[in-house]
Amino acid sequence: MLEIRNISKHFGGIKALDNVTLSLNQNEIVGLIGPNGSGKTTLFNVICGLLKPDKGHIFFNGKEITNLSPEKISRLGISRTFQGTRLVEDLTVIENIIIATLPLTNSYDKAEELARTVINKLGIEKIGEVKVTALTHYERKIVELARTIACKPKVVLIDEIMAGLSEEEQQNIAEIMVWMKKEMNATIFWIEHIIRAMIKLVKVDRIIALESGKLIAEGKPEEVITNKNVIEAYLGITNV
Amino acid sequence: MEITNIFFIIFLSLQIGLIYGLIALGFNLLYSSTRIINITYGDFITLSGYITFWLYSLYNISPFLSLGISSFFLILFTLPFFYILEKFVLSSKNILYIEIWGVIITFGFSIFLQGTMSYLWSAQSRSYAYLDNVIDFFGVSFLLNKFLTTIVAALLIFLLYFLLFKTNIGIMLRGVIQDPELASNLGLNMRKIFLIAFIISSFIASISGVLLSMSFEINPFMGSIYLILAFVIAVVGGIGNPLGSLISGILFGFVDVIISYTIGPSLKFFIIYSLLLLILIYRPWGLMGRGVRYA
Amino acid sequence: MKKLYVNKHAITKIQTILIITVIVIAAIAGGLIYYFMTQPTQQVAQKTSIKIGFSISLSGVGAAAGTEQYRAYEIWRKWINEQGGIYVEEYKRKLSVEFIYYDDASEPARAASLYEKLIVEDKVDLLLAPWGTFIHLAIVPVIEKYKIPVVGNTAGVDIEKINELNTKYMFFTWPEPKTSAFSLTLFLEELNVKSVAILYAQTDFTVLNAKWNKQYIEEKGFADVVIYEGYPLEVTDVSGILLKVKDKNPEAVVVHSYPADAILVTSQMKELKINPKVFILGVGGQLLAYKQRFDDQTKEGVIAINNWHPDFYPESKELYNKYILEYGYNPPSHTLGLGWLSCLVLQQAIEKAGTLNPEKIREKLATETFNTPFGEVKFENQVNIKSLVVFDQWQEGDLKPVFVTKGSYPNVEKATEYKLAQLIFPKPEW
Ligand SMILES: Nc1ncnc2c1ncn2[C@@H]1O[C@H](COP(=O)(O)OP(=O)(O)OP(=O)(O)O)[C@@H](O)[C@H]1O
Ligand SMILES: [Mg+2]
Repeated sequence: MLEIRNISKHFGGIKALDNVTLSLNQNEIVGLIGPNGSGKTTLFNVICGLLKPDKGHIFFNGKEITNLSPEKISRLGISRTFQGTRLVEDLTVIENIIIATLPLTNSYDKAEELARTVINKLGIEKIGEVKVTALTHYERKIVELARTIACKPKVVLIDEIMAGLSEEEQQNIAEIMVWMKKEMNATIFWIEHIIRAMIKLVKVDRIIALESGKLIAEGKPEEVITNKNVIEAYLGITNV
Repeated sequence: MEITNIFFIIFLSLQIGLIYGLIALGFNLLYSSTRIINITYGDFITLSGYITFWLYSLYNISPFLSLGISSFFLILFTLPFFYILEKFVLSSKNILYIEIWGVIITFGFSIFLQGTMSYLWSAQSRSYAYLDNVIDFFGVSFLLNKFLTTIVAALLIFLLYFLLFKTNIGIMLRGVIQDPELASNLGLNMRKIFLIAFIISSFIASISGVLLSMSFEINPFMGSIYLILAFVIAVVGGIGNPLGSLISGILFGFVDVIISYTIGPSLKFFIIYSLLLLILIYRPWGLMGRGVRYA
Repeated sequence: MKKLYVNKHAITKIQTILIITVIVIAAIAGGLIYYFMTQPTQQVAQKTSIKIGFSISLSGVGAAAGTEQYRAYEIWRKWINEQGGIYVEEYKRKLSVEFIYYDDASEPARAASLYEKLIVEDKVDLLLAPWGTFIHLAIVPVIEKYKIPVVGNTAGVDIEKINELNTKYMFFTWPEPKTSAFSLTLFLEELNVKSVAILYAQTDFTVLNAKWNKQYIEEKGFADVVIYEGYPLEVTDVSGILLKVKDKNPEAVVVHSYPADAILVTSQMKELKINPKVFILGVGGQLLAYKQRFDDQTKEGVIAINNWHPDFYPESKELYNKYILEYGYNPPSHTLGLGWLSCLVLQQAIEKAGTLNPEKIREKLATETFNTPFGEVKFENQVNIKSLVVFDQWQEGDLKPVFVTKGSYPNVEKATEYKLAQLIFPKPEW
């Protein structure tokens, strides 16, 4: 479904991505792990068109999307969240979602209708008219997820959603992600440092590990987290 | 001070302030959404003033009709202008690049427009008399054209408020202003939104041009003055903050008029620019706060 | 071209080059427009013509007035060439007049280098004046260096300042502030007003005018100056001052204005219903924009300071009619008058000298008396001591002369030889 071939990207002297090749299959949840600065977010940025790779190709359903603009890639059905949440601070919750549904519907009424269904589904309709600046960290994460869901994506890229949340909140988010997979048939690519959440709460299908821009391990979750290279790379960082 | 004088001061401040706010708003919207510092903006105001002047003095067409005619022409004129900028400047993702080349190209356009206008119509100042009679309103007398100018400016502000805060265009525009990267990631058609920003900005310039021409004389080079004014007020109000521009424009109007009344106009510019300096030292992001994510 | 855009979002070298190309093309196009704007047809010929050079403000702050002044020059050139040109004894025939000029964008430094270029590169025979006081002052060192006289124009410089300049080549024609202020005082005295409000724009010229105006009224003691206040040129509102004026209700309101504020003050006077018996404006009240901005009823009775009138002499009327034919209606503004005056004085100096030698022409300028349809001109210490000051009143949409003085301070006297219109006094209410 999403194929990444020989992607490299460097910033000045730093090799953020070094010849990365991987692919995501229809309707699976794949975890992406790696120490800080290993190039995970950079990979997402390259996939969704914010950064141009130095070399390599990206295919989505067989079609090359490597040099498309972010808006085009988004409209093909690839949607993402951002590390540390990114909302339009001046807008309300519902408006933040409408802004994402407008490109799909081109009519304000339909866009709003779609946005309302999504916040109802996620149970945040009560804060619909609240400015996002007034939200808690957890609520912001949910709004961002809601916005992603509202885009009706085929592929969802989630960048570190669990950080800073309580057990219960993590549980809720995990449920939403599982729901996305089951009900929306979405393929989810998920960066997370809290590996326990990946394995216990969401039960990802596969895990891919990056280190210094290189893919160092890939496979079943249990295999990857017991992989020698991965443990070395993560030494002192993980809380498995 | 008599109560009628207070009325008069308020009215006068609003008259000046609303137009200043409008001009700054148009400039601000375009800059904060596209990152193009449009040097030609002031000349659009001039051009609209000339359209109004010629329509009125040659065909006796009311400046109020010119509000529509002039906007139509200016928007038409904006399309190729937008196309060129999009092709050569906006296609880059580098903000610095857009800002620098935007200034260079629009500066070139500005010189070209000013030159063309002074070639076609000469640099001589022009003016016209329209609805120049005095009316009484709550015991205060106003020139009718000024009075109507103020009303049109206020109506336009309401219209823009509605557009920016109550419509999908507004939501998208504000989204793009505050976080263009996010907006493009959400699949917003950036080209369309940039075009909309250009059109709104030209629309505001053309309305302001018509209104200004009713009270002040016009000449091909006056655009530069309004450009600087727009820039200063937009910065004070906060780049990317449409309400900020309006409020700072109105504030500017009040300070302007009140200083003229109390201390006298001789020190006016000194005081206004000192205040500006203070604001920018203590609140470099503007009075109302910046509306853009990375500025 | 299409291929170059494959990498749409990066700033490629090719894009940069393209953009630079576009700008260069735009600059060339702009340059060409400028060229055609500013270059009249000039055929090079062997001393069948006199090459006269000048720079003028066709853009920048002085563009409005500069354009008018330039057009006045142009009309004179056509007028004199229709008569075959200027007779120069040295060549025993008439030489036609040819202009070489540039836009100085109202920048004094640029004007100075343009005058140097005119003299050194373009090798002009003689010079005409630029627009504006500060540009006149800026070119003084250049004309001193190359010793070419210039009959000045729109330069309102105080006599002390002129003496300080210590120039031998710049001749000033605009009535200096003391002269026009004294003339204005005589006019007010004749009208027998008892209280005067004096307002002024804060420019060198208008501040001086206001200052002397106030001093002379007080010296003569016929009226009280009840308000004396200035405002910056870029003002958008003068109602604060005007409300004070309204309180004092003076019989005369004199505004030493500089173009744009004349409109502002008038419109706010009207708005506040301030109705003095006399309302006098300085620069601006006699310009086209002023005429257009107000209907005839509003303008009726408003007085503006000037220095000529087409009704005084048939030759000036001829030039004026030619101007209107060529450029459309324009009130007989001071800019037109000064423009023609300086051309005619130069023309007569050439005729009297019988040569194009700048030094000899300078000598004639310094010593002779010139009779022009803009009044007599006689320079003493580089200043015209015979200058006319004319007060024009708007009557039914036209400027009519209502009071004239001649001579420069302290020898300003009422001129009685001109046919004047009946003064409308007191000024009708707005
Ligand atoms: N825009 C950029 N300019 C320069 N360097 C960058 C940029 N973005 C990322 N980098 C660098 O590239 C490397 C990879 O960064 P990236 O953000 O992809 O790491 P990450 O795996 O997401 O880390 P974290 O777990 O901390 O989020 C880092 O060294 C980072 O400093
Ligand atoms: Mg990251």
